[in-house]
Amino acid sequence: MEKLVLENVYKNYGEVEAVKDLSFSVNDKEFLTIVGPSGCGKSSTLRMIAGLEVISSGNIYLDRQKINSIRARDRDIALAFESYALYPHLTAYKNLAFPLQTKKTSKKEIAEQVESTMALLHLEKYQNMKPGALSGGQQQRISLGRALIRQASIYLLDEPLSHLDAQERVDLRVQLQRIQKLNELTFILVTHDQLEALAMSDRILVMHEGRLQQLGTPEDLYDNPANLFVADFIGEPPMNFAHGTLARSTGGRLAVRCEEKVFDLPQRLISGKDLSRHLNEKVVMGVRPEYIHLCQKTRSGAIPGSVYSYEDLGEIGYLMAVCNSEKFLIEVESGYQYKIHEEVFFCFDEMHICLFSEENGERIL
Amino acid sequence: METEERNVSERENQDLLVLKQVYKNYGKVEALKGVSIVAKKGECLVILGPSGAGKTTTLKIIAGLEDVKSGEIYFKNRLLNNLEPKERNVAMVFETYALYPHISVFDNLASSLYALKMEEEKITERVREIAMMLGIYPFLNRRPGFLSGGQRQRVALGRALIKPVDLYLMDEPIAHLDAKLRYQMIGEFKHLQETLKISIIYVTHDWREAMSLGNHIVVLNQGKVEQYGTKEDIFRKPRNTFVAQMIGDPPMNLLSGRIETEGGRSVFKTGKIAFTLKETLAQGERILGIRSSKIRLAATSGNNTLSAEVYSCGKHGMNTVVSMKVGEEIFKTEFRGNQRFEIGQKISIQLDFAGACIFNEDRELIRVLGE
Repeated sequence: MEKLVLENVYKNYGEVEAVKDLSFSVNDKEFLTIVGPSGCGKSSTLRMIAGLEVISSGNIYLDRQKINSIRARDRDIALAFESYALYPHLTAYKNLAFPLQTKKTSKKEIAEQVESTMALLHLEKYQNMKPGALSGGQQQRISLGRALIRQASIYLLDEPLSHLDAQERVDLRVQLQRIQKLNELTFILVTHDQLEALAMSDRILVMHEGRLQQLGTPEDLYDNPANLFVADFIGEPPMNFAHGTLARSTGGRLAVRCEEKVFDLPQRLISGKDLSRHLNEKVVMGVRPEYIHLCQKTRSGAIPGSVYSYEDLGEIGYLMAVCNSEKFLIEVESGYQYKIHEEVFFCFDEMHICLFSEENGERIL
Repeated sequence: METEERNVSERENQDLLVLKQVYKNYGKVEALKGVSIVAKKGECLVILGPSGAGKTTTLKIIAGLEDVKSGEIYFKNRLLNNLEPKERNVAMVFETYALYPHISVFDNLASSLYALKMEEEKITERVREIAMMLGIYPFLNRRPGFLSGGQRQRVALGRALIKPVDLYLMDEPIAHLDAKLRYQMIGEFKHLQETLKISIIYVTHDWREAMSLGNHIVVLNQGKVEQYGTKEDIFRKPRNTFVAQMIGDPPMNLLSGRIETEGGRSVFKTGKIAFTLKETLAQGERILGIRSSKIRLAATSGNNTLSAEVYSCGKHGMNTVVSMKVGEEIFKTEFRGNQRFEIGQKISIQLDFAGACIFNEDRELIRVLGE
């Protein structure tokens, strides 16, 4: 069931179009994350859903009701923002209890809810402290708790983990997912951190320059990026890219020509696809570090390279190999100490080569 | 006899910088409590630790920017304690990159060479060399304000590396970069260090940077050295659970239990679970440490299998990352490929004990299994 629907939504700030023709829907009990670099329009989108910003055109529906002109406080929405906006004169406990008191819940119920929320967010220790005495990360968790303790139709979370240290962040990703799933809540979370998006979400919406780039499951985004932007934005270490021209190799097969080097495109990958209209166009070939393998010199299609650097991380390692002027990062099993300038051969995982148009970044294969 | 003496002196020459029992107080706060480390010539020594560990303090003491309360610092076998910073022949790059905004990248890079009164031609050559290596050659005529954050960082790195000194000190030099650029920079950095064989002491809180760049690693925590060793030792033989959990993502999983002897064999017991070990170990309260890669999904329950309940599930790169409840502990592991688990789902996992660590009740390593 659709919980929230955005239909051709635009947001202009004067001349600047911050959000352009955005349409998507969020399902009931879904964890959707909007991710993108700063300035991509993700926070504006969330603020429009919350009613904190007026939409320039388009429609927003919550529970099938159009909410364009409903005031923020009358929308059945809970919010947690990057800035904490806590009551400075109230203790952590009372900050959490506050939204419940206004709804005339019994004292016992309030205590139970506050205590269980505090436990989930590891806040028990700080319950009698006021915000001024707490670190940014602790304040942020209280602000998150205050949003989650409310009963609402949908929960909007804007960078809720940004001020936490690395370990806390990893712990809280787990807790956020559990709170959402076990209580069957609908979450829209905004973040710039693609690792966070991949780790928690049911689906992810990638935005760039005010436009939707791709909406899909974490697996979709990782294995089947819709365009060059998504391919580059998702994944760490990042995808390798080689710039070249789509050409026919001497055998008549389709290939990507990068300077003197010609990378044949595997038959399995291109069968049934017509790429002839892209012939002689500038293209970008993308392969993730996990989908490049070292191989024997004699293997057909083996690409020669020279070791540029090698990092051994204990169980896996990252080998940077140079071929022509392109550098490829390759994930390898650790154990062997590769030397700089050592000759290596590698090949691509046939079904995991992506091809993009250099002109507009669209995926063509 | 003679050769032996020479060997000794050669070996000592390998030790570029030695810290012996260094203590440092800020008022009543003890920042360093007896830190001893050795940095070898031509190597990268990484100081790894969480915030407040004393990493930056250690670096500042080496640079001469802070005094010590007690302890000795030797540089090329010479006691350094009372030498002024400028007499120490070390170059320091701090996390914040201070570039001169009003002059070009070229002049930013060359400024320390002008100060050395080097010949113009040599300066130009050296700047070009460094700029090529760091990929900032096309921007030599621009001012820093016209560069991206990553490019500025590389200029800062270049400024530190251009001065020919015996030891480079770096404090989180790439922490400001976005994640993608960091991967690229680590590769560049590693290439540079190995090609030029320069000696570096590198401070970071990031285990990945430490493992990537360090020949030796010192793990610092609350002003004390938890472990100093080669990066292989730090990874495979962590001296205690702190070091074990500092390195790796997900961190090493820990399971509390005890070792008992049954029928002449050692058994690790936790809750209702018992694993028979190949090794013979002393009885007592123990912690079993096992890395994510040694945990596999099991088709059926059998030897070394455990039942677990899925606690959360997500994606990390091409892997699926799963937290699961094993008895009272939460294990975190990654499985290769795309898999989906529901919260609460019951699964069976199998543990491979090769390389697993046994810690005693003081959380210190007593044995690595299967070695």
